[in-house]
Amino acid sequence: MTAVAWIVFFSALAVSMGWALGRRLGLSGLAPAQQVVFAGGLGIVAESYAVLALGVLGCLRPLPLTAVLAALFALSLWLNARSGALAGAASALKKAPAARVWRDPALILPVLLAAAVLVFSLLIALAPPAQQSDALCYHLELPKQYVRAGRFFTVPYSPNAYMPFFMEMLFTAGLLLQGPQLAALFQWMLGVLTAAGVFALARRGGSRPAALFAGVLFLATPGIFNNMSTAYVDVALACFTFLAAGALALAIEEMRKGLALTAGVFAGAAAAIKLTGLVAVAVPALWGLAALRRRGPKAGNPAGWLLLFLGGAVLSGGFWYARAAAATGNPFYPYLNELFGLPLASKIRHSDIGTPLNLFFFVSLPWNVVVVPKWFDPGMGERLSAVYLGLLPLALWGAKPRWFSLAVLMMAAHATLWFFGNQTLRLLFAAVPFWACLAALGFDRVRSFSAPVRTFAITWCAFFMLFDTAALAYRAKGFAPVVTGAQEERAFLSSREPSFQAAQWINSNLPASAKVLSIWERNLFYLARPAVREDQFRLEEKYVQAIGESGALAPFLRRQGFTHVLLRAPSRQGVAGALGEWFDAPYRALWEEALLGGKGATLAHESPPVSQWGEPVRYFVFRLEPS
Amino acid sequence: MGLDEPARARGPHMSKRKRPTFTEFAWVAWLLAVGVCYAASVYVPEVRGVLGR
Repeated sequence: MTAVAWIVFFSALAVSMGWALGRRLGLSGLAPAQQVVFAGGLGIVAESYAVLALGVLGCLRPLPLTAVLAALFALSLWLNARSGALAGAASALKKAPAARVWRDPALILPVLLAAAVLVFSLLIALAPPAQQSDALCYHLELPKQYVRAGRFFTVPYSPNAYMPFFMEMLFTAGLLLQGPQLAALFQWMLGVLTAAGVFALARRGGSRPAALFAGVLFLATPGIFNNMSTAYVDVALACFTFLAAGALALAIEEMRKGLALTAGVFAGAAAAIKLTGLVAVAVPALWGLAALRRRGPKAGNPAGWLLLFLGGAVLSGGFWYARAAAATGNPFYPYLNELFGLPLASKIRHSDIGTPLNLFFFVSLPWNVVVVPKWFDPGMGERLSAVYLGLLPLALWGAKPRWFSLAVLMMAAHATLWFFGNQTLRLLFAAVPFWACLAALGFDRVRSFSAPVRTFAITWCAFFMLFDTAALAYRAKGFAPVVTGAQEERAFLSSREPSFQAAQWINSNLPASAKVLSIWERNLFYLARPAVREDQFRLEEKYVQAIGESGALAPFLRRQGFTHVLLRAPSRQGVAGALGEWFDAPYRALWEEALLGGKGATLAHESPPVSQWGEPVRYFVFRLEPS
Repeated sequence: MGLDEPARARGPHMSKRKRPTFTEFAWVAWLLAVGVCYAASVYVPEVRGVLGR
């Protein structure tokens, strides 16, 4: 419940701060729904940078953070009260359309559906994170280290240390004020904001029922609601990508230059969440230039618009790229290292994911991602609703609003990058809000159809959305006991997260001064001792050169400060099999001599087999003997 | 233009027609195809996919 209270506070703070900022950034006079959504987006950018500023100053502790957040809230409320916005909001609330929902049967079903999705995904988000590899490996692992150190710093031997960490700053606040549950709720909050954004922007050129339908469809998408309840960043990326494109389209349509700056801030935030967020900078900028050219001289100098948009992007995203460039020489580190003459980062690829790279599979991509999700899902429940595909043909003909070409361009850009890059479905989520807007166009087309077809189509859409929501409800059932306290967190995690068991043993048996080198296990979030991933340590130190092929490994590791080695054996083959699979020669020989030959290392713990992804895994902890 | 924009921008009104056109029939066939294939893909391992792990 603390986590829910905090996220309500963060949401209110975001809207309040964003509203105060937005008066100077072209938000005044927009439709109320658009104003609230854009204000929320701006406020979340401010929240992330407030945490970063505290981190850089070395003040990452609960009290200073709470004080800064409270001060920002008070300041923004004062600014809003002075500008009359608070009084305006109060009177607008009195006239809010909420009461009409219960009198209009066409509104009841979508509103109830959205409420069900929000409640069930919230329930899952409130459980401690298990089987969420990227969250336990770095989205939460690095914030855990910032919280421990009380400051933001470059985590040594982490391939993720220089990645843009916009969301991880919010996750840091989550860990500091409550725990990993609050961190996950930031993604949940951004999912709600995206749905509201889809509603607010699909209204341009669409009917209100269609816009409402699109917002609910976005929420009731299995991939989206499953991702919303984790401390991942894919829904957050979808949110800011969509807000950037939507704000720029609106800015040009209504000739609001200030809004172009706001759009740039959103684009920069998208780029500060994930490198693929750069699409949100490049594509809208090019589209905007073309749109301004079409408008002719009355639109003013396109260069001025571009400068505002890119200026906003540099303001909200530039820091992370400048930092990576200054430290490593590559602003996109650890990606594109080959372009900058740096060693390639180690990475584990899902080699069994995706389709062959040919024209047939590229053209059939919209069909495949909806109908054959198993090709693209590594096991996180990543799936799109059948409704997207059902309504797609209708969106492609008939009158189209001005934003249509931008939505299609954004989808095409993401789809192309994704198809030739990593075909994991969640990496395509940034295209989903745009697809939801196309579904709104299709929905309006259905409204003009004959009564029997209209009834069939609406029943068809409702059936599939209810089906996916029922699956969510069924899944949430497994999380209810731990959230309500009927099941202990420890028992919940022991049965679901293999790395938790290894971490528990290490936390209760190793001294506080222990330092662990981890082979195979990347999910180190639950470890309360400092730990380093062996693959990155090897990449940076190339230690076989320092030791020599016939030298002793254990004394070298001791000199580096390591006291223990954690080994996850992913097969039934035990230590020898794990070393054989993980290391190439000559590293394998060094490790076999140390761990199997007993030269300087002794076995301290061997776990019983636990199941991960249907495979038994076993953990071994070796003590490195002082020389 | 916002929530209270003029009726012109509120999108098409509900049609009173009873007889479907050929295009509408073709689209219903598409819906059925998508629906059947989507449902068919939800066999047991896929349900695990939808539900997450």
